[in-house]
Amino acid sequence: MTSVDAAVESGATTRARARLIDVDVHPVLATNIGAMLEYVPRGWRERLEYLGSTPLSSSPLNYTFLAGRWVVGVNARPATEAPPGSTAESLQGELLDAHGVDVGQLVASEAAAHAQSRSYDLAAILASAFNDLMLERWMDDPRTRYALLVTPADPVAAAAEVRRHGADRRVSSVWIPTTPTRLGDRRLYPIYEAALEHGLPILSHPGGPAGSMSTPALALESRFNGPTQVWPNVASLVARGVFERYPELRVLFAESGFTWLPPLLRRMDAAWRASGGKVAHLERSPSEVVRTHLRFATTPLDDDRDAAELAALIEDPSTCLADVLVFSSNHPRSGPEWPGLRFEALPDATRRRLFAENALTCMRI
Amino acid sequence: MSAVGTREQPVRHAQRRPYEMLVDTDVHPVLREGIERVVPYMPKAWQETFRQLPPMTAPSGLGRPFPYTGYSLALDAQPPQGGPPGSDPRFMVEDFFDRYDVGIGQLILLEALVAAGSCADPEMSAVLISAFNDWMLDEFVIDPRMRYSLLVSSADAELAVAEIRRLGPNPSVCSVAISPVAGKPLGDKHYRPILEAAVEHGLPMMAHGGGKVPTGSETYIEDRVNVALGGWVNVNSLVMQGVFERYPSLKVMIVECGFSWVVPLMWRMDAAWRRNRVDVPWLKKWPSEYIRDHIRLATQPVDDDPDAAELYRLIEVEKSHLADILVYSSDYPHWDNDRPGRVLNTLSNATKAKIFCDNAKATLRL
Amino acid sequence: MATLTGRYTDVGTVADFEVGRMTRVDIPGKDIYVLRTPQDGFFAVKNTCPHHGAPLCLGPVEGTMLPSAPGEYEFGLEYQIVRCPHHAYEYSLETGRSTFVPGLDRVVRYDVEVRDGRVLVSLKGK
Repeated sequence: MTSVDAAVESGATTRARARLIDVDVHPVLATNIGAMLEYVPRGWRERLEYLGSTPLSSSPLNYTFLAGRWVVGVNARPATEAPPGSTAESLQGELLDAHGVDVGQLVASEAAAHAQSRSYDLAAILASAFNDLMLERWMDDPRTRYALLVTPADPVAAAAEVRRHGADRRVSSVWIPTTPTRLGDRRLYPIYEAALEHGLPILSHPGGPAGSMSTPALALESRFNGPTQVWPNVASLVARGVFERYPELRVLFAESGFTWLPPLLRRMDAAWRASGGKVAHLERSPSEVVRTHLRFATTPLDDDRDAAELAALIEDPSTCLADVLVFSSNHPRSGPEWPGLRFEALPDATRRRLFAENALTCMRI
Repeated sequence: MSAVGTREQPVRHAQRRPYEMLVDTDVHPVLREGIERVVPYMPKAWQETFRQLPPMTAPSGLGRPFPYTGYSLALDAQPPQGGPPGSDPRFMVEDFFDRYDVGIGQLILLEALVAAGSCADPEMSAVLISAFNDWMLDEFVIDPRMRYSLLVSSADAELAVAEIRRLGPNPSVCSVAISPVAGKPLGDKHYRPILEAAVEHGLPMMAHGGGKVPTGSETYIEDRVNVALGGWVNVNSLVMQGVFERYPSLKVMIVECGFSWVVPLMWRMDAAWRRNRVDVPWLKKWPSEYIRDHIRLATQPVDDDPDAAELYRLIEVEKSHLADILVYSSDYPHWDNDRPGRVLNTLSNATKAKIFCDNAKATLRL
Repeated sequence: MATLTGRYTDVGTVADFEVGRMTRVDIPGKDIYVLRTPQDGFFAVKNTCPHHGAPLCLGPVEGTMLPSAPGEYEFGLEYQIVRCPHHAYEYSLETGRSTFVPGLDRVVRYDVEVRDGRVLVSLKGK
């Protein structure tokens, strides 16, 4: 039985029985990235070789795999031993088996840096190659699912990629890496339409690390600014009536935290009330839209709140958090403590929603 | 004597032109009152949205008008009944088309491009553009010699295509006007549906000003000089991205960027192609040949100071391709217009025939 | 077996030449490189680019992009061309002419014969 068959078979059972769904798991591609080239058409492969230094220069990975004659400067790290999570087997052992994860959604974040190449055609080719690589080599375990990488700069190519893999039941969502284009922008509609054809929700997750060298202070500033990437995307999706146009659409925001969400909801609701119904396509309150259509992964946590504080926040109905939170481990970047422990003060019903039920509304399983 | 002084007399040799008729590829209607004139042409629901905006005027001319010349307009082109130069179609017919015996004039409404560019929402911008188009075709294009460059949204290709399908069949429309989006020159994939729709309707594309290249210039004169960069960047992009291999019947006209820059551009592109062909293996001939076959440059402003002779000699050199590329333009009624008979008048008759008539006739849909 | 006319120099056995690599041959007074193709064909080329005299044969021979549809890349002419290390001008090893970009200059080549496993290079350039 192929892994696709296994996914189809396990789908219904999983939906019924899953106790722990992890919506954001990172396979580490360090030793695999050269393998991606095998999935690139010949002419483009030669072009990448010819170009020498490639758009992959934004990755911290060792890219002499790709441009054999070139030795990369700052970013190169020779592959001596396989880092954690860098094979499908290690992912199985370190995450799925170790923590009893019933379904893990793989998000190949190094791949996204490449799929944001300035040249659209190259970005689409690389995204496709990564998708082919991941689906062929990482998805044998029936507990794994895959967030299909697409290129928002070229929505037509992105829609084609969705259609190419949409029927593969191991694909659980369509991943649009964070870019300057806001998610409410109508230019992205072709992607949403293709996703909906296959019953696929959208995943919004930042791409891989930026290439520029930064000081510890700048890196810290960047951490402080975390929510500023997501907030405008939530605002644009709601204000532009995307969900009135596509009532079946669901969007999951991962790796962006969530404790900043309650003030945004209050702000949106107050502004909407003050606008006096002049925004024709926004008939529901913004918080209602968010509760129905958006989901937010739990990790990384924004701050050091302990389990009791978190429980109090999540249990407050005005925050909508119990409706919108979905568990993620962000493996292998979650640090020594298993992130699930931070939610142990929640009552059982909320825990069931956070660890499994809510995920079913933003992943196709 | 009119209130603005003696009017310039047209050059007499207009009657003995070595070509059938004068085609002018850059004539500017001017709309100074703001967008209220065109709001009635919008769908009802949108009229509300526009009426609640603060009053918006869009000055004609370059983004930064030259402040010493009556708001960038030629003072002698002022209609006697009032209103700025270029605002009265009947006076434009008399003062320009009749006086200079202009056979065809391509009307390019700059205010619309500026106004539409300041709409945050692409749909809003497209509604405004459509209203301008409807107003122009309804109230301004009153003479068969007036032809209209149809404005379309550059931000949203789908909406642009819809507008081309809607008004493209109108026989007064002679081209599709587009303002390239900053950072996306015309060879960018984004424009392909628009180019296809234009080709479908037998229309050339017209880019006025070639799009803003960010140069950080501090003064009008620097901007003026740098306008050529917009032309350079867009021609480079169009040719190198294989647009003319995809659309062999497409022509692109670039207006009000001048033309002297295209010769060094051709040299550079040709030499680069010999060295970097592998970057663009879809090119089947020299880049300069694509330019000769597909790009047309409006002549205004002609860089004729201090001495036009060298430039005119170059035009007559066959290898420069300029005699095939150039299409005359006046830029009436802007202050730095090149009136008919005042520029390029020492060229050979054969070259004049091409530049003042044949090239534009073969490019615009007439 | 036809006899060879003109002067040929024996430059070694077929096995002496690594496949796919331009190798300099030791012919006094001449700067000539030999390429053995994966099909065991041979080209001999003067190591001078007709453009500016650069050492042509140090350049890659693996192939080039063929004329294609816009936006597509097709690789071909493997071991049929050489790309000059200066300015990247490409020349056909078969005809000596520049490939795909019309140009008048030609690379000087020499006939190569293989007899009894030995590689023979003509001393007369063409």
